[in-house]
Amino acid sequence: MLLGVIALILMQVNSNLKKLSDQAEGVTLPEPIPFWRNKTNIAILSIVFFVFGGYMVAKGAIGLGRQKDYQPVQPIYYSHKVHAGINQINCLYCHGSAEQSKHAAIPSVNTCMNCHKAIQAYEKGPKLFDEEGNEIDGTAEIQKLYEFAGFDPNNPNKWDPSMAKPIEWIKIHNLPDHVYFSHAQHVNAGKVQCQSCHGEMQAMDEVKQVSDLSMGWCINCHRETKVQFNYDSTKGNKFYSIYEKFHNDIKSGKMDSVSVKDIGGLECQKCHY
Amino acid sequence: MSQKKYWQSFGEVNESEQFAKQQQDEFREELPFEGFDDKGLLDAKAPRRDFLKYLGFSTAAASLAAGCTIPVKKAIPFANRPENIIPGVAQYYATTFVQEGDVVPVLAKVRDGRPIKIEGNDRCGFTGGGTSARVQASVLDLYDTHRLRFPQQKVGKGDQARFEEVPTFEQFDKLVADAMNSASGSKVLLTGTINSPSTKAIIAAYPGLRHVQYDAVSYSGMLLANEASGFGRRLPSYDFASTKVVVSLGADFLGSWLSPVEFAKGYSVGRKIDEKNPSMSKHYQFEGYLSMTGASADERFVCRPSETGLVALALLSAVSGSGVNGIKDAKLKAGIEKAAADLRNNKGTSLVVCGSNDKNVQVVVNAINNAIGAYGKTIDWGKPVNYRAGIDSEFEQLIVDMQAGTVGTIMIYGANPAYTYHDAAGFASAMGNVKLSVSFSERMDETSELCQFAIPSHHYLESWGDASPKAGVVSFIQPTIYPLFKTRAFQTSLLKWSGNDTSYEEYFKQYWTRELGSEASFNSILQEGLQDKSLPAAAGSYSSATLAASAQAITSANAITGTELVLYQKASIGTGTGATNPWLQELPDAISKATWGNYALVSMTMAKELLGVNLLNGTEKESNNYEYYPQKPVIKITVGKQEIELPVLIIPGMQANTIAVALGYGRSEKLGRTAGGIGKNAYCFTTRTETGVSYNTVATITDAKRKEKVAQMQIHNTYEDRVEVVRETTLATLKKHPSVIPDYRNHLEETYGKSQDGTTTDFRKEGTLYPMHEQPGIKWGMNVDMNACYGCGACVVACHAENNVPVVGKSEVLRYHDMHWLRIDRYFVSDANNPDELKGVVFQPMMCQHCDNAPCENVCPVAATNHSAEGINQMTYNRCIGTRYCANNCPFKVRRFNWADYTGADSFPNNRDQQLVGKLDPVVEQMNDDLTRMVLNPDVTVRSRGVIEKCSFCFQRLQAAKLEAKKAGRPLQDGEAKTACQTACASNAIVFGNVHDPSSAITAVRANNTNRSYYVLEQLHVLPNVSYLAKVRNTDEIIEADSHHAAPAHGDNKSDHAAPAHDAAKPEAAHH
Repeated sequence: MLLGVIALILMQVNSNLKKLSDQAEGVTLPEPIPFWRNKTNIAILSIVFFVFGGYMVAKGAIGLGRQKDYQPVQPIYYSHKVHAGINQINCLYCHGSAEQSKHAAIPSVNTCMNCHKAIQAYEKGPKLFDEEGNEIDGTAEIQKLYEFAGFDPNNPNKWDPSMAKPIEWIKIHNLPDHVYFSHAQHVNAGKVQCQSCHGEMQAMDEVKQVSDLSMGWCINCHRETKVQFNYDSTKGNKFYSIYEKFHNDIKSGKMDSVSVKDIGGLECQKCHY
Repeated sequence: MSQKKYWQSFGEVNESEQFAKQQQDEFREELPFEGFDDKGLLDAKAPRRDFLKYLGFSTAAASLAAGCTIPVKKAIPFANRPENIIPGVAQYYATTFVQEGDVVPVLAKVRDGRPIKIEGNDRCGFTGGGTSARVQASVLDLYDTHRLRFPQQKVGKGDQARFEEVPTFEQFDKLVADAMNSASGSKVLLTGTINSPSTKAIIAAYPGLRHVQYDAVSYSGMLLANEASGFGRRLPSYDFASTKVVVSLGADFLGSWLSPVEFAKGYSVGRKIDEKNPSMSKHYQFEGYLSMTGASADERFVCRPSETGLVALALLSAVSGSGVNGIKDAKLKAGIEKAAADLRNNKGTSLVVCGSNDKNVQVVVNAINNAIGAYGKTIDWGKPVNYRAGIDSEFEQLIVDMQAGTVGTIMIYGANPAYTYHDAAGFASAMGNVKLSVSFSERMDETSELCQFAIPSHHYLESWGDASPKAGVVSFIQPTIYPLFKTRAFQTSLLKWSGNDTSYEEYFKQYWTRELGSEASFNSILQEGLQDKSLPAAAGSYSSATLAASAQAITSANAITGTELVLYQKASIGTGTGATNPWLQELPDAISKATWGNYALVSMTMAKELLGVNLLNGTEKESNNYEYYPQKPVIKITVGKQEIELPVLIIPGMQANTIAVALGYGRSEKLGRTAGGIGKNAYCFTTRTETGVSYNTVATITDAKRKEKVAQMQIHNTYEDRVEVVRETTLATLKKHPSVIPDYRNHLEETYGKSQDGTTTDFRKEGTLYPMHEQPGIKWGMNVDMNACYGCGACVVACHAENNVPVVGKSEVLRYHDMHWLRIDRYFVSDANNPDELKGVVFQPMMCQHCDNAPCENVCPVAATNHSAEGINQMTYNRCIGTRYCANNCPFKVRRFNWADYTGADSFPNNRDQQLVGKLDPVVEQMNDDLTRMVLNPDVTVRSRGVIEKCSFCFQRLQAAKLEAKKAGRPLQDGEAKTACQTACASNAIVFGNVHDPSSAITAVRANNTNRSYYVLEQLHVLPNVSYLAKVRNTDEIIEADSHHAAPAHGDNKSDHAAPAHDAAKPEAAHH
C-alpha cells in the first residue's frame, strides 16, 4: 500500500518534471487528455472493478444459504439464559436425543410441563428483554406454553396431556439436505461440548446462530480435534483400539495425538452420502 | 463364429461389428441435439436466440432460486413424545409378509413413523432371514397412489356405473346389512389361500358362510394327488437342505414355485463348497423353457411341457430298475437314466419335485418319491405347509351356482378371478347373477370393478394378523403405521356382518391369548415375530392305489407335435400382484433381462423357421438386427379363440417347439400408471383339462410382420471383450485341477509382480505407478458366491429401497438410462460350437467394486469421487458436475448418470419436463408423489439431475454400525455392519465385513476358498474390494485349460495387458 502511494507520487513527480523539461525545451505538447478519458486509467479502473466485483460476487455466492447470526422470533420467548444459565439445567435434560440420534430434538410439550406444572410464574429472575429492548413478561410466556399444553393453572388436576398441541418452533440451525450430520457422533462418541458449535447458549436469551455452519468451518474442526484414542487405557474410546499403527506411533513417539483427519474425518463421504 | 463359451448376447457370441461399435461407448444414446438436423444453428428447431433466451432465463432463475430469500423452516416436536421413540432412530417391528398364501416373516424398519425398508426375520428357521424381490418391494405398495382410499359403492348402471364414496363405515355396514337381508340365496366368501388361524376361526363362526379358496395359479393337482396317494389334501414340507440329489420336472422352485425363499435357503446349503473336500448337491432339471431354476441346474434336459408326465413315468420306471420306457429322444432318455441312477444311489437324501398342475403327473411323482425313500427324509409330512389350498373344481362349482342364481352374496378378498381365471368372461357374467357383491381388495382390481361395494382392507404393514405357513409355526403381523387411508381389516367387516361387534385387533389378541394360554406368551411371539414348534418328521402313509390309473391316463394321452405354449411366473411380478409396483416392474427378469412387460420366449430353432432370424449360424447382420435394436419381431399366439400378439425374445436352451409367456401383465388401467397397459394378459391361455387348470397348451404361432420394443438391459453393460469377468468350471475339473482359477492370478503375479531387483513378487504393489492407499483401521470388503446366486433379484430391490435408487420407466430403460446400482449379469455357458447347446447359466451380481486403484478416481476433474481410508470408493453427489468421465473409465460399467430429474430433488420444481430429455414415463411422476416419497430413506441423499451415482457399500449402514460401537466404547463386531443386498439374500451369497479383522466372516470366506476366489478383470490392476467365488457346475465334464495360465475361454494375449478402454484390442483379435 505504502509502496503504491510512493510509486504514485514518484510517477506524478516524474511526469511533472518531464512536463517542465518539455516546456523548457520548447516542445509543443498535445492537448492534455482529461483523466477520465485516459485509456490507461479506464483499463486500470475496469480491472480493479472486475477483481473487486468478482470477489464480492464470489463471497456473496459462497454465503448463499448461510445464516450466521440468524435470530428469529420464536412462538414463545424461551430464554436459554434463564434455564441453562441461571437455573443450571443440563442441556441433555431437554435435548436428550442428542446422545442417541442424529437429531438433538426440541423437547416435546410434556417435557416442559414436567417443571412448569409447578413453576407457573416468572418472578425471581432478572428482567427479560427482547432484541428491540422491549421488556418481556416471563409469566405471560409461561401462559403461552399452557395454551399449547391445554393446561389450566387454576385447575391443575384436570389437565389431560394427550390434548396438548405441538409448538411450531422456528428452526435456526439448518444444514443442506446433502449433508449428513449426527449429534450422537459428536456429543456422545466425540465428547464435543454443545457450546463448541452453538456458542454460549447459557448466556443467550433468544437463540442466535453463532457459527456459520459452512463446510470450511466443519473441516477446520475436523483438522484440529483430537480423537479420544485409548492410549493410556483409562480414558478414550475402545473403538479406536483397532488402529494398531497409530497406537504404535504414539508409543514410539512418532505421533503425539491422533486427530479426526487421521482417521478419515476429511473424506467427502463422511458427511455426504 | 468365435466359439465363445461365455456370452451375454447373440451379438457377442457372433462377434458382430455392431457389438464392437456399441461397446466403445459407455453412454450409447445419441446426444440430445435432435433439433439441429444438420441444418445449421439458425435453421434448427431451437435456434441461437432461443438458446440465449434459455441461458439468460436459467441464469436468472438459478440466482433467484438459490439466493434471495431463505425459507423459514419449522421444527415441530412431538406434543407428547412416546417413551420408546427417539426422533431419527429407526425401530424394527417383527411382522409377516403375506400375499396369496406366501408367508415370509420379516422385520419392518420404521423411521420416524414411516416403514421404509423390509428385512428378513433371521429368527425364522425356514427362511433364515431371507427375502424375495416381492417381499422387499412390498413396502412401496403401502405408499401406492392407486390404493383405494375409502369404502365405496357403485352407482349407476352399465357404462354410467361408477364408484362413489360411502362417508362412514357405519353407513357402509348398514348398506351391506340391508342388501344382505334382501338378497336371497347363500353367502359366499371367495378368497385366495387363507393361512391365518384367527381368520379361519372368524370364517368358521360366520353363520351359513360358504368359504371358497381360489389360487391365481393353481396347485390343485398336487393337493388332489397327495390325497390320492394317501397323505390327505395337503402339501408337505420340502427339505432342500438335506437333499443331495434334486430332480425338478418343470418346477421353478427358486423363482415362483410354492415357497421360493424357503427353498432357495435350503438349496444353497448343498451348493456351497468346502474346498478341503469338494462336493455339492446335484440338480437335474427337465423343462420346456429356460426357467430361473433351470438356469442353476447342473444338468438340464429339455422336453415338451406336455411330456412331463411321460418323463415322470420313465423316471419312475428307471428308479424302480426297469429302465426308461416311452422316451424317444436319445438325449432326454440318457438324462432320465442318469438322474434315476443318482436318485437310486442317494435314497433318503434325494427329492423329486414337479411343477405340473396335473393330478396324474403328481401321483407319479409321489410314486417316485416313495421309491427313492424321500418321505420322512427330504419330504416331511409332519409339517405340512399351508401355502396353497385352492381346488379348481370347488371354484368351478361356485361359478355354476352363481350362474344358477343360488348365490345371494359374494364377498371377495385376495382373489381376482376376473383377471386370473381362464374363463374370465364366464366369471364376469356369473357375477351379474349375484345380488350382492363386496370386494375387500386394496386396489380397484379387475374383480372389484365387477362388485357393487368395495371396502378396502389394510396393507399388511398397517394391520394386525397372523399366518401359519406350516404346522407348528405361527407368525404374527403387527401394524407399523396408522392406516394411511380410510380402510378396515376385512376380518373386522366379517365379524361385524356376522353380528359380532369386536374389532379384529381385539379378536386377534383374545384368540391368541386363549390359544397360547397367557398374554405373556402372546407378547413374546409378538416380540419374536414367530413361534416355531419342532415337530417330529413323518413319512406319511403312502398308497399306490391310484398310480396305475394315473399312469394309464398319461400314456393314453395323444402326443403333441405342434407348438406348445407354457405359462410361467416371473420372480418379480408373480401372478400379477407385483404388476402395480414400480420397483418390480423395473427389476430385470433373471433370464431375459427384460423390464416393463412380457414377451414370448422362443427357441433359436423356432426363430429361424418362423421369423427367419438365424442366430445359430446366420450372418452378422441378422444378429445385429435382432440384438441391437429394441424392436423385436412380434408373433401372434392363438389358442382356441383367444389370441394375443407379443414381441419375441430368442433364448438358448429352449425346447425347439416350445414358447413361454409370463403371467401377471396386461392389468386394468384402474390399477394405476405402473400396471395399466404394460404387457398382455396371458391368463386367457390357461386351459381346463380333465384334471385341472393347465398352464401349458397347444398354440398356433404366426409372424405378425411387425416389431415392438422390449426394454432389455442385457446389452447395456459390456466389458469390451474382456473375458476374465466371469469364471466358471465343473466340480470334476475343480477336483482334478484345484488351481484352475488361482493359476491366472499366479500368472499375473509372476509376469507383472516382480520387483525391480527381481527377488520378490507383489502384483498389488508392483503393478502400478500410483502410491498405495493406507487403510489404518477398517477396510471393507465383500465376497459374492456365484454358486449361491440364482438371479432372483431380491438384492436389486433391496438396494432400490435402501439407497433411494430412482425408477426411470420403460422409455428411459430403452435409452440405456436405467439406474440400478446393483445389477445381476446373466451369462450363458454353451457348447463352443453351438450356442443353443446350453451347459449352464451364470448369474453375477455386479456393483461398484470399490477398487483400491480405481480408474474412475483419477479422471474426475473436480475430485467428486475419491478413495476413503476404509477402502471405499466414495461418490460425492453435490460435488459432481456430470462430466461422466468416471463412468467412461469404469471397466465394470457400474456408474449411473441421472439424465433427468427422476426423483424431484432438483432446486427447480417440475424440472422433469424438459424438451431435451424428452417426456418421462408417468411412473416417474408417480414415484415423485408426496405419498410415494414417504418410502425414501432419510439417511441417504436423494440425487438430483446431472450427477453420477453408484453403489456406496450402503455407507449409511456402515456409519450407523460404527456409531453404535463408538457409543458403547467397544470395537466394531463382525456382522454388525451389513449391506442391504447381503441381508436380502435368502441363500447368503453375499458376505461383507472388515477384511482387517482376522476373525471376520469375510476374512474366513476368502481364506477358505482360495481355489475359487477371484477378482473381476484382475489383470487391469484396479484392485477391487469385491471378490467372487467362481461358479461350479456339478458335472463330470473336465474342462482342460486352453493355455498355461487358464484364463477362461480364450487365454489370448490381449487379456493380459492392463489396457485402458480405448486401447482394447479390436474384436478381430479374439478370432484365432
